Amino acid sequence: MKLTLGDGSGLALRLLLSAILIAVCSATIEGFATAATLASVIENLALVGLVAAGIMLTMVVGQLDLAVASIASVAAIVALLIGTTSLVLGIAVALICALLYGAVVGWVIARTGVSSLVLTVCMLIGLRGLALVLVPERPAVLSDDLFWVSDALVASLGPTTLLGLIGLALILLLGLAMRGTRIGLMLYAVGGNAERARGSGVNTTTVYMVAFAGSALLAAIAGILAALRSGSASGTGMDSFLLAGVTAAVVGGVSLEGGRGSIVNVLLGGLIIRIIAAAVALEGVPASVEGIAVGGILLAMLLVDHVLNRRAGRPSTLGRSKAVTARA
Amino acid sequence: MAAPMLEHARLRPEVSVAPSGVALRTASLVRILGPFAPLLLLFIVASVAVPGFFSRPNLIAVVQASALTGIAAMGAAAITIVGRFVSLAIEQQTVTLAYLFAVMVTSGMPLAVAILGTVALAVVLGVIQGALVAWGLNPIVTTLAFGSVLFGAVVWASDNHTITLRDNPVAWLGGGTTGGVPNQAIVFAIVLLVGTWFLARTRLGRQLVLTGANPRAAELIGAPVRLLVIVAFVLAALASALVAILVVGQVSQAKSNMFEGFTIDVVAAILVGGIAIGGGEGQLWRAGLGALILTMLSNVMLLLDLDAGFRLLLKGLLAAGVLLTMISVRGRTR
Repeated sequence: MKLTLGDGSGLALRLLLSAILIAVCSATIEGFATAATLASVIENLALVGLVAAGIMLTMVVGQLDLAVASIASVAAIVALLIGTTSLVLGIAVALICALLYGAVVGWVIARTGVSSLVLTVCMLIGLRGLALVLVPERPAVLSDDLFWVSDALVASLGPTTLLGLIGLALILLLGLAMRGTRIGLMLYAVGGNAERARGSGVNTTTVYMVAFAGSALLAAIAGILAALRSGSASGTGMDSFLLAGVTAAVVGGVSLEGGRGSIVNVLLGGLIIRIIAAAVALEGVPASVEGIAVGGILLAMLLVDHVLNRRAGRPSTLGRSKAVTARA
Repeated sequence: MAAPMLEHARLRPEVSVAPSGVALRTASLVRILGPFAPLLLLFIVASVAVPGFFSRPNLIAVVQASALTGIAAMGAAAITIVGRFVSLAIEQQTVTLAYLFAVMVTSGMPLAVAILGTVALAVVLGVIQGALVAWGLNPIVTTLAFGSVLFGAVVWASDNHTITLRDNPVAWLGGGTTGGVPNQAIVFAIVLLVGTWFLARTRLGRQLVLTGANPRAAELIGAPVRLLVIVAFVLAALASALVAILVVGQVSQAKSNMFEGFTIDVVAAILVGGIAIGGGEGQLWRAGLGALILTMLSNVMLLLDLDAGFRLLLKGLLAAGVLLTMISVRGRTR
């Protein structure tokens, strides 16, 4: 039986896992099977999903962007700071900066061959510093006359909130673009075999730039949405995005080797994480348990994938990513 | 690769294209002093231009502040050298070890038992991470997950309480001085010497370097590659244990946020020290050097009234700068 988590065939497995989780939580936790929980799970899924989708873009080309949480923070702070004069302008500036930043990072990685893990760790450090430079003492806050934005985002809309719908719509659009456009297919081609892709006329530099610009843009959107929801943005408030995003992508079967990954599976990966987080919150156990749960899931998935791949006689898909083995 | 070429030229001075003796001596001097140039330059400029920098208490403060990062970075550099980049769980494992040490001391155990217990847990933490990575899991993602689980477990178990030591048997080690030099700095120097000796002169050390440089070749000559990866993670964890004991000695307490940002400092020190991220270059002291440079820079910026954000921003840019410079230099000499 070919049971692997690294490819699209795992969809049924993930659906089953999510269904079991929902059933178990609904049966054992009081107040879990309510509309409020559903709305909150979907809303948070949208945020994590945006970050995870960005991480997936870089993982598909065989790299990994570790700076997503810092990008989200800086973008949110920039949007809110400029937002005191004009929120639309603030959001536009933040998103354009994120795009340009990501494109530069992608260009540097493509041109120098530097390990993306190492370079993005440097960026993580620098951007965290930049966030603290922008808001050295207290967090940036949404001005009082703009609180209606916050209220609108969390207003109930169907099974979720406006924020949830915006996030999910963007994620699904990205999914369609990855499967249906030329550049989307190029991402998979470069991740599958960079040499062959280059041989058949794909400009790998452009592809890397698109992947990292996309990752930065999506992280920035998630950061801005989260900041608008809470009405404030601090320098380190979004740190959990990195672990949650990577976990959702890995649970969603995106291969660190590159070339594989689908948005639907990543969303299911995110869903599994958010269900557990919601269960933890409702059970009244300390928040530290969420860290144990999410980290534990990530570790377990890495192990399961490794074991399954070994049994199938293939090298592990998650084991040694190109990003790690790249000479630096 | 510039080094072998120079060696070659020195052996055969009669070759006409070889540089003259003076040039050669200058060249090898540059090669030896090269890594220290940024440190020296920074030191000289800061001494002249920044008021308050060149004073005994300030310089001692710099060395003391770099000691903790330096020790942890030299341990973690073993992971880099063996070719697995770094552990992202350094902060969390150091907090865990500090808690364990503080709990054992406050529960009235003899100091030796507390130290042994802390070292034992460090070995366990190192072996777990090392075994997973040696088995083929991605080091960064694995240690990210491991750190999250570990930190959650510690905060949960301690109920996020601060543990305060009433009698501190290691206060002299963490906070004391010997002949005016902080004991932390002396420990830093000892670790630096032992680490450098270990990597250059022992069989295990050389096998670590070889594994990082060429895992296939290491396997072919019978080096236990998987075991070596585990050894590297254990060394990093042992360095964390030492840091944990020093800090508990210094501040007489253990709390969950006591090492916030420590992983970043350690990774930055490794990068700024110029250790080849691909592995296979055996210079542990470079991590210590990186810690010194970064601390001195932080100190200068503190004296110039620049806040924490600027220091962090510069740290990241400097790390990226050194990384990209090294890659472009390598690319040209390859």
